[in-house]
Amino acid sequence: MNYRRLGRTGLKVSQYCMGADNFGDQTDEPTALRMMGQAVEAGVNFIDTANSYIAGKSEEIVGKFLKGRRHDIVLASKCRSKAGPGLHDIGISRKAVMKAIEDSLRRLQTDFIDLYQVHSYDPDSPIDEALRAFDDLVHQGKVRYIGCCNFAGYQLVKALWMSDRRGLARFDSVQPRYNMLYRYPELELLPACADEKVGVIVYSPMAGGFLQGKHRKEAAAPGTRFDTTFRAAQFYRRTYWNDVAFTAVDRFLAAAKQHGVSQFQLGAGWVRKNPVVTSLIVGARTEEQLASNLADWERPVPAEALKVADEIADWYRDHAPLVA
Amino acid sequence: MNAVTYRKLGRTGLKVSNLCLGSDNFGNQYGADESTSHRILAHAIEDGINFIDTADVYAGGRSEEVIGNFLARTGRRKDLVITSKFRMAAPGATPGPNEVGASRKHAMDAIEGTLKRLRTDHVDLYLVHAWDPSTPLEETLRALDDIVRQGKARYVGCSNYPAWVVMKSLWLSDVRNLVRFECLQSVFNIVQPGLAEAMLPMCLEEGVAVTTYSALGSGFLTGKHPREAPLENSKFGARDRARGSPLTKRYWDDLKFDVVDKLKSIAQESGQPIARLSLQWVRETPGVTCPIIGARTEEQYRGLIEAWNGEAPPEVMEKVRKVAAEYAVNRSWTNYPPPPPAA
Repeated sequence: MNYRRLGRTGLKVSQYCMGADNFGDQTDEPTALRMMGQAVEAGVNFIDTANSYIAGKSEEIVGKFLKGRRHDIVLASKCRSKAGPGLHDIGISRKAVMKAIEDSLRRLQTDFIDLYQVHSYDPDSPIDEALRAFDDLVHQGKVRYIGCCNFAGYQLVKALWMSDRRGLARFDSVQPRYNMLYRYPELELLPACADEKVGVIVYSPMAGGFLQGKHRKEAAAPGTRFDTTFRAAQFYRRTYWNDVAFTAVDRFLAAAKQHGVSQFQLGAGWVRKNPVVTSLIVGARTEEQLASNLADWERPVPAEALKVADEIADWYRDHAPLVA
Repeated sequence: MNAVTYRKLGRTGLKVSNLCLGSDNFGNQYGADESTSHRILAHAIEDGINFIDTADVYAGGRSEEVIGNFLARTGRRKDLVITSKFRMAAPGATPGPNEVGASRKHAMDAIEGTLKRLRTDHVDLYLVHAWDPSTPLEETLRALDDIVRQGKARYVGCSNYPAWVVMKSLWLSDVRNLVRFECLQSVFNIVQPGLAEAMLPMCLEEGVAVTTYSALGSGFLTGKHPREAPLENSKFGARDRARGSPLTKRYWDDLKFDVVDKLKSIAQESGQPIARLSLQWVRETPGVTCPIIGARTEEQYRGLIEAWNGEAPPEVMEKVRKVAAEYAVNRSWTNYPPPPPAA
């Protein structure tokens, strides 16, 4: 396993980050606990969850896993998305943040979160209100570092400005979706992160599994993120379910086969070679998937294969509908 | 009737017409000669336009000279808000290393050249023509602040910047107590809608004015070009080829021609001039302060101002917005922001 500094900070995280957004849903609790053990065994020290994942179940499962090894793990969670029925169970008002952190700490059975992130931009609260609340959490010892997810480049820079102006903790990481079939962050967010030395924790590095090539245009493979019975299927379909993407995946599968690498090696390898990327959040539903991903992670990908991946990604970028 | 009216330039107290006259046609071999340019300027002022946009790079400085001669001859300087820009090198020119870019050195030299050509002692709005990643933003902002203090410019802004760089500039101006960018200029039309994604909401929130160019896609959206090849006597003809055809590469695809066909039929059904549909779409987009129009001939100018002065009814604009929205989701990788030229 390889480790990276989170942006400009001194915090070291494994470049392979364990995503917990399916724990308690498509992955049941006993499986999830075994999988986290498997990942830590392989050197992973970075686990990403959120208060809104599976109505708090994801945090509860991660909390059970943390017992006895809390200090070995860099724990990331988030607030801002809807986490309950109340008026203050959503958003990043000072009121909502102060409630969300207590709920998360209780579910996670810990007294601190290493990286606390705003799950997405909130037009209903001034960003400096949220930053002051986050800064207080850092002073109170409940949070070590702060970050944001799904922000536009200019929204990140505005937040850095407010932190600078007011002497508050600043966002030291962002969490965007980024992969061969979704490169929108290259326009604004990633250059801003490179300039400001903000860490980049990528989610969906395999396009929600689309790059595995298991789907047929007529029907998604059952049990996947594209299966219409999956809670967030529309989010994934809106981005990738188009003819250009299916053609790109055919080319991608052929390239992987030709160079003797797995889909995961090639798709993740393409993301990893971008120097601005700190970590990749890799989701897995089953222990077999995870074992294969962890093994593939350590296998080098030939430069020739990455060059072809670049060509496919460029072709897709220039021909596919632009999804913001 | 939608005559030219006046509005604030962003949060500032400066009042500009809601239509700006561009001048990259003035004094160049493919555009308008000096006397035609002067007649277009006179018509524009007569129609209420007080906002004139030029740049040191247009026609290698000739555009500024033509405007300067007009100002000297007519004595209209004080009635007008004059914008100019620096940072670019003329196409085909081989400038020295400090005759291009947004360094303090070049900014200080460039403003002198611009003022001399414009035959005035100040410009009202001075823009950095494109982001220069090789110069710290702080250096450029400090130079601009000094230019304002010296009385050589009244306000400053930027053009063709990515949104995050604009925000970083506002940050630096705030913490270093320097003049800030009060205006941003970029391309914006139905088939180049990237500005609406980040820049327009950001500028609305920060009180920064937005002036937009190419409302008609350099003539592409007037529907005069056949799909097969551009008309020779147009911005897509010899003039574009001389630069390596950047404009043609940016516009020539089926998806964009489909938009043109749809606009043509909306224009035909409604009896509205096709140019009005695109101009009005830009004007009605929240966050846009004013579009910049350009003309090569008096007839072109006349056509544009007639298109501007009329108003397509809401139900027609509803159809135009639908065409634009469909294009916005189906288009591929955006051209926004235009990549900065090699420094």
